Amino acid sequence: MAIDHCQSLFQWERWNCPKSTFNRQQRLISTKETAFSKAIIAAGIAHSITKNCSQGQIEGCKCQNTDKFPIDQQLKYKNHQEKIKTLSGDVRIKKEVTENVTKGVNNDKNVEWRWGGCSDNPMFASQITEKIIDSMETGIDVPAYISRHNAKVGIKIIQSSMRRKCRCHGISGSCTTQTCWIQVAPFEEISRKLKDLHRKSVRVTHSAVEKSIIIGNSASDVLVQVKEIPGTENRLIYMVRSPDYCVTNFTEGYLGTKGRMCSRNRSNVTKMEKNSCRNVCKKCGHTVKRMQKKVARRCNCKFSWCCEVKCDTCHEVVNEHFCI
Amino acid sequence: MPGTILENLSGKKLSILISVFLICQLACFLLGLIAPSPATTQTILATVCVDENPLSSRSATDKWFTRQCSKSIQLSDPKATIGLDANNLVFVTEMPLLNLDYSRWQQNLVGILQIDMVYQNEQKILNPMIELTLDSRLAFSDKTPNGGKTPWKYYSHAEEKRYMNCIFEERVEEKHGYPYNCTMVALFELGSLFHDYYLLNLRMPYNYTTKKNIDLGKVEDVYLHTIYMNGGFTKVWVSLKTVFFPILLSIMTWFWHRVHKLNRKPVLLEYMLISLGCTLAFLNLPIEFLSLTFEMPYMLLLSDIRQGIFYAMLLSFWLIFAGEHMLIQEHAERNTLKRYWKHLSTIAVGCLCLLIFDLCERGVQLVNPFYSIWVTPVGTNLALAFIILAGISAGLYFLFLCYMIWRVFKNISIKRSVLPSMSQARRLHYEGIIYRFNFLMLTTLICAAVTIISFILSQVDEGQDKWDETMDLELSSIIHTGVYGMWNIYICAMLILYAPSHKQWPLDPNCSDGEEVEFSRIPNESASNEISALTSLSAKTSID
Repeated sequence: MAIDHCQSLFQWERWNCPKSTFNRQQRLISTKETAFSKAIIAAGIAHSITKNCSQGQIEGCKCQNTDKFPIDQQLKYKNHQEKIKTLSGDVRIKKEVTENVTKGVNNDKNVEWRWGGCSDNPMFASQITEKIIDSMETGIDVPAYISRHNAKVGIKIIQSSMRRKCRCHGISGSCTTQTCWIQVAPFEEISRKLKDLHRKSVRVTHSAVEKSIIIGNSASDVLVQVKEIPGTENRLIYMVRSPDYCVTNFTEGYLGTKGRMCSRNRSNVTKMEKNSCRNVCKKCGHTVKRMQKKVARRCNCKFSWCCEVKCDTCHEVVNEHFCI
Repeated sequence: MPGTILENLSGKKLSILISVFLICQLACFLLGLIAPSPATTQTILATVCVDENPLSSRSATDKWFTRQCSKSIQLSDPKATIGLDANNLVFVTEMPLLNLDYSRWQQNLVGILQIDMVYQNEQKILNPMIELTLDSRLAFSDKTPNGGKTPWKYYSHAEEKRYMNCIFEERVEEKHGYPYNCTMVALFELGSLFHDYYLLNLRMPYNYTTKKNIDLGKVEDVYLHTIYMNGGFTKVWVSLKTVFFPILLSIMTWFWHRVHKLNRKPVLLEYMLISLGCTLAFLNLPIEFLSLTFEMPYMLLLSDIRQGIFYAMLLSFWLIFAGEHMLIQEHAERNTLKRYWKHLSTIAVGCLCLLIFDLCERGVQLVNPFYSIWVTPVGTNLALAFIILAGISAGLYFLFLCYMIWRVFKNISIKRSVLPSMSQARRLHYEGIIYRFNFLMLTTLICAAVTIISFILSQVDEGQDKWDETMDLELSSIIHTGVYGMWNIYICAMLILYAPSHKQWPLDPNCSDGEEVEFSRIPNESASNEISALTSLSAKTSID
């Protein structure tokens, strides 16, 4: 989900969100773009956990108090972690059958639910995601700090775009009693917000990051305290200026812009798309080649719920532009 | 109503009584602390199942799709819906989520539908008002002793229309796939949560000729927000009622007993007080216990009616109380309800309107839980008409009440200015009336202010946009128990303090021995049991 959204957002830019960015095994240098992809992955995980929770696919999305974190949930969350490690991109959490859920725990839950109800799914999902991110990036070095920070920004975006909905159900349906809940914004909205953050991201120096990681020793373990670098709250951070995405660099995982498609549509398109040929091709020193293609396109469509789009087929010649 | 306990009680005893009331009040607020919030929501994402034989399942009432249906799809995947049409799709929600089951303590269930619709590139921006046709079926199931579930049984079925308002943000640059911002639609309301599990099978049939769902765009997700009472809150609530009910009953019998000890017929205000007590006792009657063993879908309607009767009585009481303390000597018929017919009719009209409205909405929901009066234009107009009429009569009522209170105060100030020149008996009589009136005015104002402030507080609390995780305090339940307790205590206090006093009976514990009585009355006067203030007045003057 994260990749799809990322790719459609960056379709007309030099960096087009290649799949390799989402490969966890690869350690990438901390550019704006990796920062963005970290954030969107985290947001994607939180979003899909929320969705799966409300579909009843994951156990333990319920009766979650902020201070206690029941054991079976931790077990489950370890399971998610395994999944996430194996699946590098799209996070799809399927229903997992864990034998570890004892009946007793379930009964406790039921009692708790009957007493006070639990409806905290979105919050729960972002807490879980934060834990997953923490356990994925266990390092205490600078890149780990940066990627953790950016992932947290992604989660925060989810949290800040939650909407509160209320419903009155008092006497005769009046508002003497009303109940509210929070609802996660659609992922489209979140990914667009993250793209704005990508534009506004802040560059930090190596030493500033080091300063913010305070390492203290305790008897058993190394204690790591992390504090925020001033001015980076709710901002994506990066260290290295983005490389030249025009040229191919396999080690860093991008293919250059040669062969990419650009658009010369003038009407009814975004600014980015309008300038895409100049940005993606010409400025990189490529030339734009126009290829004419005859396509059968759907036109005059009439959508009828659910699944049918009644369209005429129009044959037209379209120009496709490529960088060569 | 000459000679009430309030006037004859010593300052010390009055303060003790008031502090007991305040402690009870505090206890009610504290009780709210242990209760969870009155209701919670659970959001359930519908599983989209494919019905291969939509025609045969149309009439079948025993064919149910569950979350584990044989073929489920993701609507966001365009490939999944190839070859299907709207009649094939069944949106399945099993309530509650996961391995939980409903408890009868949770009382009622409200279902609200949220349809996530996205913009398609080939599509025009839809007109904002979308008419939905929803074919919804409800089934229920119960737990079996060995931990399983009984098979789904038919509960209800209806095809209803709903209106949904959708806005598309035009500013968005990349429109394709961007969601519309749609309002939610109320789907059903169950007055009793008798069974352990419920299942909703929702279809959105498409039919061009009968104009079913023709405006609907591409739906990606359907969510059902379920709102149910919290079991814990019901428990606290019902125990509050169970405690108040016998206390109130005993106070009422004591009061009525006292009134009957007098050698006269009860006066109007005493009738009003006892009937106010009766309506409150009816409200306090913990019939919620019955809903634990019997299926009572009319509970919502019944609780509306109970509250409505109580409020109507309370409003009438205030009106008549003000009228009876007018301090103008009129004639013999001042003790009858007839004198107040104009004022009382505003209450009657208002309450009748609300009752009809409630019967139209919740009454019909007994038969069809998916029914809503707000859907059809006629229904909406009718409902609005009733509500506006009720609003007008409420406004009229308050005008009457304010006018009467203003007149009482005017009379009080006139009488005050001539008080020193009066004979002592006359003065004490008037001071008694003024004191009684001021006391009720003060307590009523305090209670009303507390109610209004707490209501506003709860609105502010609920209305805030930010979600605060650390907020553990359940303000709304504190307000509910606190305000409920407050009106109970208010009426108990009225019954005790406005009961006729018999100072000459030393056995009665509630009567002071008269060391520091607020108004030492002349023994002759308190012994004579007049019916009206007028006769008492003449008696006094004759003594003088």
